[in-house]
This record gives sequence, C-alpha cells and structure tokens, in this order.
Amino acid sequence: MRKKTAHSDKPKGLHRRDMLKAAGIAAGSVLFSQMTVTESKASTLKSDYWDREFDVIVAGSGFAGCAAAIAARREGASTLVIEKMPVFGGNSAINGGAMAVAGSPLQKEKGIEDSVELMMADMLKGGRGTNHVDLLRVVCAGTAEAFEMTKEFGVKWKDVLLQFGGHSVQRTCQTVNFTGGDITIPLMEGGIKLGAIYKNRCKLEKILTDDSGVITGVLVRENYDFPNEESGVLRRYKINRGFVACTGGFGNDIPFRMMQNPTLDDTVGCTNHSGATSESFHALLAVNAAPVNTASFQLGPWASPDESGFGYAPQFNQQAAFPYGIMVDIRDGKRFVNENADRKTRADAQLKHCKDETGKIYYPVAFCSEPGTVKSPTVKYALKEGVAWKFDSLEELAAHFGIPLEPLKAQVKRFKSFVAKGKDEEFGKPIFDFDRSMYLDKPPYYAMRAWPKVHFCQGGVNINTKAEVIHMQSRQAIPKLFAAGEITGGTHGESRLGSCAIAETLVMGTIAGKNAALNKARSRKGE
Amino acid sequence: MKRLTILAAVMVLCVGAWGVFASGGDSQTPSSQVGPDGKKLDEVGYNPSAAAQLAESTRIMLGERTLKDYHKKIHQNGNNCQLCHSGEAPTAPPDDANCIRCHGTPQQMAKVTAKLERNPHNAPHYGTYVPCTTCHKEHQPSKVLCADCHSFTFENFKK
Repeated sequence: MRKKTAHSDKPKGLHRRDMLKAAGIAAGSVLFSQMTVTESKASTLKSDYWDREFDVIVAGSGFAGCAAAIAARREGASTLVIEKMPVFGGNSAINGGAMAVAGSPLQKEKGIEDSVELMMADMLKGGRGTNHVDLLRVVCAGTAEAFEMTKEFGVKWKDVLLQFGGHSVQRTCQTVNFTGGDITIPLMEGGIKLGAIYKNRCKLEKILTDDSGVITGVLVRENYDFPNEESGVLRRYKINRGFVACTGGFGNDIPFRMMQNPTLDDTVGCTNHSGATSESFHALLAVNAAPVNTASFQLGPWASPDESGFGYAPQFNQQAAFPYGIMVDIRDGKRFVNENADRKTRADAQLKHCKDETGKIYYPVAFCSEPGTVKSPTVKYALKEGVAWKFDSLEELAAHFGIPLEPLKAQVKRFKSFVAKGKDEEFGKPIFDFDRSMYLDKPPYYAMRAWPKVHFCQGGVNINTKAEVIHMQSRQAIPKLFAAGEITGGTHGESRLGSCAIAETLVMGTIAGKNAALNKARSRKGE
Repeated sequence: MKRLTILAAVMVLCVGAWGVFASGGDSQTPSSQVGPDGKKLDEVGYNPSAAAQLAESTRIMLGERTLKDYHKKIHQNGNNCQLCHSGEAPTAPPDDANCIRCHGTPQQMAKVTAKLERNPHNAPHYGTYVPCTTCHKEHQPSKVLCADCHSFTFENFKK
C-alpha cells in the first residue's frame, strides 16, 4: 500500500486535471505511443516511479536559490534548480541591487567604522526587537564573505556607499546597474558552470513524503505557463539529500495577503514580480513546516503611485529625496516623519497622516536639490516616464502639487537651518557633515510622490541557523528540508531594513545549499 | 489499489465522453484507438489522418487559437503546430530553439536592438535569458515583461 501516499492526499483539483490530461491523450489517440501514456500515468500516480533524480533540488532562482545551487555543487551534489516563471531570477532580478555589508572593503577605505554587532543592533531596532537573534547573527556575520563570493563570480559593485533608512552608518553597496539582475545573472551562470541544471517553467506542486513522513522528492509541473494552473504536465523528481526552498515571498498573492491582513486588498500596490505568490508556502506547511509572522508584510514607503510595480521611484526616494531632501504633506506643506527612519515607521506615518476621514489619499511629495540626486542613477528615467518632476523654483513645485506656498517655504527654511546645525530638530534624521553639499538647498528641485506598496514578507517558515526547516509540532528540524531567503521568517522581526535582503538571502542560501549537499550521510541512514 | 481502480474507471468514462464530444456526436474515432489502458493504440500503427485528427481534437480542447498575420504564411494558417511547438498536440509554449531557427539566437537579437535606449533583448534584470515567448505570443496579445513595472514602450513591438 505504499501507493497510498501518492494520491490519497492529493488535492481534488489535481485529480480532475490528471483525468482531463489522460482524456486528452486518449482522445488525441494514436500518435502518442503507449510509452507516453504509461509514463505520464506512472509519473503522476505511482509513488515508486520517478521521472528524474537529483541529490539536491532547489526551488527558486533568486539570490538564495542561486547561492544554494553554487554551494551544493561545490559539495559535489547533483543539483537542479527549478523556477516556475519563464524568466530566472524571481523578485531578486528586479531588486535594487543594494546589499548591506558589515565591514566591507569600501567602508575601510572611507574610514567608516562598522561591525557585525552594530548591524545587528540596527536590524533589531528596525525589527522592534522581535528578530530571531541567532539567525540575525549568522546573517550579519556572513555578509562580508557573501560579498566576496559575489565578486568571485564577477558581480560588479559601484564605488559608492549608501545609507538606507534605519542603518546607523553607511554600509550599503550597490551594483553597477543598480539592480539585482547584476547579481542573479552571474551567479546563475556561475552555478551552471559548476554543473547545476536550471529549469524554468517548472513549478513546485507538492513536497512528497513516504509513509513515515520522510521527504522523498517533489511533484512538479513541467512546462508550466504562469499563471495557468492547467498548463504543463506533472512529474515526480526524486531527491536524495535535500530539498531547498528558496521560493521567495508572497506579497503579490492578493487573496492570501488579505487572509493575513484584510487591509492589504488590491488597491494597495505591490513592488513584487507577478510570481510572488504563496503556493510554495502552502507546500511547506503541508509537510508541517512551522510558520512565523505570516501577516507581517513590509510596506515600502518610497514607492510611487505614478508607476506600477517596483519601478524607478524606490531608488530616487531612498537614495536622493529621503536622505537629502524632505517629504511633505501636500495639504500643509509640512514634514511628518523622519524620512530616513526604518520602513515601518515611514509607511505607518504616510498611511496615518496623508489620508482623511473618508479614506481619500493625499499623496505626499518628496523632493531634493540637484546635488542630492548624485547617488540616484534612475532619476533621468523617472523624469522621462512621468514618475519624477523637475522644478526651477519652489513656487513651481508648490503650484504643481497644490501645496500651500508659504508653509512650504517656511518648512524648507527650517530644514536648511537643521542642515547648517547638523541636527534635525524636528524628526531626528541623521545629517552627515561629509555629505553636506548634497542636502536640500537651491533649485532646481527634483520631486516625486511617495506612497507605500507591499514590498516584502517578513514572515515565512521557521528555520534554524543551519537553514533546516523546523517541524511545527516536534520543533525539530525536518529531515532533508531546507529553506532560505524571503520564504523564511524571523530574521527581520517586524520590519526589515533596506538592503538587508540581499545580505540575508546570499548568506542563508549558501548555508542551505551546503547543508543540503552534506546531508548525504544522514539521508542514507534514514533510508 | 481500490482508489486506482476507481480512478481508472472514471478515466474510461471521461474518455468515452470525450470521444463523443470531440467528434461532435458522430463516432468517427474507432473505439480500438481510445483504450484507456493504452494497449490498443500501438496496434493500429501510424495513421496519416491521425495527425489531422489530433490537431482537430487539440483545437477543440484548447478552443480556437488566434493567429498573428505575420506568422500565417509560415505555419500555414495555423495548420502546422509542429513547426513551432515540435508536437502535434501542443499544450506548452514552444521551445526557443524553434524561434531561433528563423530569428537568430538571443545574443543576435540583442545586437539587433542594441541601439534602443532600453534593449529588451539584453535587459539589466535578465540579460539574454528571457525566453522569446515570455513577451512574444502567437495566440494571445503580446505584452512586454518590462511593462509589469515600467511605462516605457517599444515602437516596433508587434502586439
């Protein structure tokens, strides 16, 4: 009765699809050889038939997945990376390419003192102290090494250090084209060179277990045509050593998102790629992975209502208007938050201050002077696409957005005096002497509207410092199951600081891939 | 085993219903070809009309497919699925290899569009690794992946 596991707990929809497919094949008749029919039947119905076999299977091809594949190959495991989308890279590919590194060569060069402890302290503060400190320590301590790893595979970094909200020092490095694709492409090529196989349009449907609950493989949908759940064919892949879930967040899964937090309906934008949905999270829960903080969605306060998805605004606001300029409420021309606070503080403030009783939104405006845009390479594109505007005077800016002029003038004057003093007396934004020339001063001004979009899932499955997924009942590691990246929860507590995602995903992805590959001895004993 | 038997039985029923549906009630398909166990299929051997039958049944199964004018000559007005899909009854997007035969490799395509301000065939996010059919669709309106986040457009992109 081993076959029982194979289909007794299969969701009902799957039955129907299988039958439809079988019906199609039979009706389609003779060109399909008997072998095709038997194979497709065997592969979906029998629990002892496997279509393919690998030591390690990684699901997801973002930062974590790429790092895991490299690490697994370096330990000599045969490695397959499956990606459900047609393109590789997941949400990482459209990420802003900014990575926080504690103790980077660039920091040393610029005489900036930083440490693992300081980075942990910043992230703990941002996370409201609810971070899983053991994971946090591993991540922060691993950043310098992960950064070197990227360089080894040819990732090119700019010679500039940035300071994102919530960080107490400048510790964020950014890739030359300011996008995560600068990292995912070389890491994927590096992984392939080392012998990993990358397979796109291949969706994880289910983690398969034997009678005793030990993971044996995965059920996947090959030739999956996102988001058509009827597309493709089901196949069973056997896993010898470990399955590594690097399947990312579920911020763009609106029904699931609303189940966790009904206020995050489809009127709330999202910076994620369209594939950031929750099926893989369900698959992990189905094998008893413990969930953490599932309702903790981070809203990115720097997104723009004038473009869809991630777009150009986050980089302009994060690297120009927020650190060096001000953000004002258009109804009174006044600031209402430290523009460089952590993301939760800022998004909460926007939602609280810029909506009236009827729910009408008054999008706040963030702007800075021209020197402030030096570190924001996307500003020229943003201007062209109508996401940012350039104004030759405050009058022009005020008129365009309908901001009362006199209070706005007074606010700018106040902020300029804070810059001169080196101290923001209103909201305590850090003001750096060595960047003094970049702060809000003369026209022309560059402005953008800023409004929160769902950006990141702090929640996910629980892992330990070896990236092993924890069983929700036994609280022990689930054998052969590993996870890394946004699909895991805990590291960032209630709010992740900007540029800490690449840090986390690369560090934990490497650990997960390595430990999955080294799992040889134990999985043999288990068999 | 009981479950398997039930499943097999349901499949037989389904296949029966399908046969009626596919042939519009007129039973042209020999019953010997649609054995649910697959055993009788091979005994028939290759049947030249089967390809047409299969294309027809696939069309019914998938619904009428829209076609783009510029490919009509090549796939004989939609009668040659194999040309792009490498199969008579396609259910999945074609492999890039079949696009490449006429259009050149992704690297070559990247050169063709290299002078555009944003090169869709060598984007900073994905390099040259975007499968052709991600954006270029034959049976539905084409849509650039970039448009998920960006508002720029490509003048010569055929919808």
